[in-house]
Amino acid sequence: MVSPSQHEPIARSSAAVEARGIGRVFQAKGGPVTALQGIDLRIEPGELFGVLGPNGAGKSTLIKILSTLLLPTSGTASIFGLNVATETERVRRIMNIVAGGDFSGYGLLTVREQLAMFAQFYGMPYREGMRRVDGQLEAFGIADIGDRKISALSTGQRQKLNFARSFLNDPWILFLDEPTIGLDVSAARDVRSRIRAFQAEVPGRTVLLTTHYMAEADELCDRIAIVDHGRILAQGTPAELKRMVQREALFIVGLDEIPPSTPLETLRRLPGVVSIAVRDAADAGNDISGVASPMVRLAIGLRDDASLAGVITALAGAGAHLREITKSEPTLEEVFVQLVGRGIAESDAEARP
Amino acid sequence: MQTDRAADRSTGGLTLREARPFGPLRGSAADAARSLVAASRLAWSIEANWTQPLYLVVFLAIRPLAFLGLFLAVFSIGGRLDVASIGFVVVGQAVFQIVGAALQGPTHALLDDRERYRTIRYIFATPSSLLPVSVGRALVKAAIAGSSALIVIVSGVALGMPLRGGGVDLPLLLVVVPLGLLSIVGIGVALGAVCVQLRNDAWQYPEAVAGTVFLLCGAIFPLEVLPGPVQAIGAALPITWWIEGVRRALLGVASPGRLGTIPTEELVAILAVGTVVIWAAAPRLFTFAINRAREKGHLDRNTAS
Repeated sequence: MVSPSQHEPIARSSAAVEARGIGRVFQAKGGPVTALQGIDLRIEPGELFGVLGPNGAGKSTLIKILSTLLLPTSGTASIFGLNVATETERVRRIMNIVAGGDFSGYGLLTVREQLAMFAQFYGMPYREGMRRVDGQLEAFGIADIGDRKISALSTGQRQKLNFARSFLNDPWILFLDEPTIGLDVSAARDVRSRIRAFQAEVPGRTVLLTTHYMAEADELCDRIAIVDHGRILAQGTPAELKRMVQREALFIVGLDEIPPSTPLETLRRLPGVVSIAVRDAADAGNDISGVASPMVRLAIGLRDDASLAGVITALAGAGAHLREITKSEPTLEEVFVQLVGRGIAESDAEARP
Repeated sequence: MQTDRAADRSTGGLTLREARPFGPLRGSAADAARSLVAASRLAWSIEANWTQPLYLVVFLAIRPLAFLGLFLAVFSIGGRLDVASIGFVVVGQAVFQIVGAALQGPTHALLDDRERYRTIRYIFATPSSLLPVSVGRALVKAAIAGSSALIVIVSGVALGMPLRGGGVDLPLLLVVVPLGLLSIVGIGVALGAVCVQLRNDAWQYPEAVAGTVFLLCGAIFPLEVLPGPVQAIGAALPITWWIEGVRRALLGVASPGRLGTIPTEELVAILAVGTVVIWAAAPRLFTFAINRAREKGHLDRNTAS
């Protein structure tokens, strides 16, 4: 560990993560395997950045390199201006890592004992370490199992313990490798909410999350990089990525029926309308007298949101009764399919031996 | 002692935590000491708390006593079981309990953490080095094996093993035991560094090395029994000198053969020099090997599943 005098202040202008041309090739029996190639990445302090990709895309390899567990075969990477290959000791002081789906831990230790041990490995005096351990146990709602042996924990409790460990050193950056994999809905929700709270507590705290859960990435991440076969195919905010597959605004408008006086051809000629089609006919439920009420849904593509007003005015003027209007957003799954050429489940199946 | 706030350096909303003192130690020495203590506590829980105390004592006694009985039986069949032979075999067998544990300790710590507990990546990702962690684990293993050694010696005395006239040479014992233990842990550290490069078969390497050392170090028979070149290898092992030092401290007599002709002061000096040489090389080899494992991607590679 370095003494205070060896530290120069870390520049506030440093990117939380800066990777340039990162590549990683593993030597395997069947020949070299390229896990990453030419990864360029810049993550700003305070961002929650997601790396989205199928199994075998290189997500975990990237996290291992950034968290100093693995050296790249080409390129350079830094965390808050510290080189991950050469300034490992300082990098480790300001970061932490959690991998999902692993059953790590010393079964004979209690939850509190294991956390106390890691507090020592982080260089904390015993009393301060225990204060932090108790704080994290409270924060994750596992204070009641503090004296339980790790071998007796459920998967969700183990992952909460893993998270509690990762928060012990107040990391500036947290690397989360598929953190909710294998967790039930409730435990996954707790973990996601704790990630958000962790970031909100101190400005500048950064999270790099790998996942292949599209909804998780969409819900949590400020920006996302989509990776496949070791390359970044696209990166941006979820909204930016979705715009890549949808150039126009898409609205779903539910009507009791298409007014005979205003056929679709008429609507298509309205200003700003790009496309219009019957999406489906549905049962909108019973009306007030208990009679089933049919509904037709139109999928209307518009140049911009403002063009919707003209369409609604025309429909209302023709006597149509509006039942619903929703804006349809493309999903990250659609973005993924467009970029990768296949769905993520399909990609995972391909990656399995 | 610095306050928390004084020990921290703020950068915007983030706080860089500096190295904390550990007693009189500062900087990396403080961290190493803190990690050593934490790893020792862990090792105690793993090695000593896995069963009821009674079963642990039985476990610690049965194996060495069974081997002792075996060797004494062999000597007896060969018609060479006398008081001197009992002392020779008992001390060799007792010390080797500790040698085996200390030699295999660092490798087992690294492989256990990689393959069984799957914690190595989380420990490696702390500012703490794996070196004090491995050493702490090995020292506790050796200390627990020390109780096996004690059981063997007490059994030897019960079988008629004569202790040194005027009592055990405690000063000599207090010099040779720590030196010998340090040298063996140093060799264990180097062995662990090599084994972390290997796949799950790596478990077997330290056992093979311990078995070979057992043959070469004069634990059960004098070095003179071995062929010439092999004798030279045995004489180069610090374990050989450690066992000889313990024999002289406990029994008051030197081993038969050339080893027995070396003055005790010289023996201690050779053991001390050997320990220094080992500790000059072992941490460097360890650091090199861990970096290589990091380069190759072997560090957190789980090969057990």
